[in-house]
Amino acid sequence: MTELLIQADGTVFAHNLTPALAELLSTLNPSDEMMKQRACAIKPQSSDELPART
Amino acid sequence: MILVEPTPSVVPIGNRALIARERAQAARAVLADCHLCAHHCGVNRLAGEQGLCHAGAEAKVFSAQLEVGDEMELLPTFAIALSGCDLRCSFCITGAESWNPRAGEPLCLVTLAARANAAVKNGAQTVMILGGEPTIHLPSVLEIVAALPPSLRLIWKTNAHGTALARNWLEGLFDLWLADYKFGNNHCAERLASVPRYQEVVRENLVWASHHSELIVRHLLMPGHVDCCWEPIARWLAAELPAVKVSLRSGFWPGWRAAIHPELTRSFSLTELRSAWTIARNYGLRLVE
Repeated sequence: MTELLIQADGTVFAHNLTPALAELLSTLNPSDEMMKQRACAIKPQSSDELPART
Repeated sequence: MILVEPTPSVVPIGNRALIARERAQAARAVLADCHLCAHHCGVNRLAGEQGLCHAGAEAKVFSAQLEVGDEMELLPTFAIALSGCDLRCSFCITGAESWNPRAGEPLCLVTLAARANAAVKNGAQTVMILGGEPTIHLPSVLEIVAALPPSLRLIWKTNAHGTALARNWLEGLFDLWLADYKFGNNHCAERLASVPRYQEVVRENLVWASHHSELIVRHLLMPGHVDCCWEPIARWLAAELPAVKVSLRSGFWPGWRAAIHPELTRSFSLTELRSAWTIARNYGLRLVE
């Protein structure tokens, strides 16, 4: 669950940001490049692949 | 000056679960005379005594989900949050759960491991254990690590207020420490989080972590605390850990009990943010997003 704080000036703070909320916030403000990167961070793995420790 | 990153001593992949399991059994006995955090309460948590954190013998999970809000190189992460904390930060963003070690659901290792696996199949690159402060639940943490697939990249998110005893139990199990350095002087630490000797404890833990794991030092910028907190932290990091990654967080929001401090009743300003970045640049810090 993500918690949002929306200030009077329209600034949105997000805590515990889930991929779904990141996508929503990115849609609301397409010029926010960092939020776009966070929204795009999720890439489903194949069923047999785990991210490896390096 | 040539900066060389220390080689972290992470245990081999196949051994992590076994080592964590062995340590978990021994670590539980430590709760009978608890010295996991630097408050050194020494209470018998197995007998129901409570120290400053008020935690009992069993951990509770108040959140376990896929998240994309942390440092970019860790994302997406399956974040497992344990309730309870040894600090009393008045501005804590998870105050209700962090100050109450009974918040959330009882820890179920089978379910948690299954959810972590599912999160990985849905794209999680790391699994993060955090709080509150997970150090106070070290035996349960070790049980969680033992239950997780050994090939997962594990992140330890901590307030860096643990003891050498706690560090020894954690050694080699986590691929990266994401450690807070919250206050740049002991006065602010006592005033805002009721924690004495903050500098001595946190600095020792950060130096240790830099030699035993990958490390990202995180600082939450707080309104009115750039000169007294961020600047001394930046100065110390530049002098003692010049190669460390630093995450400067600007998303302070005036929640929980922040209002008891006049300077914390607002969010961080753009002017302060520019000042903080200038400090980081002047000290040559290695900032990460």
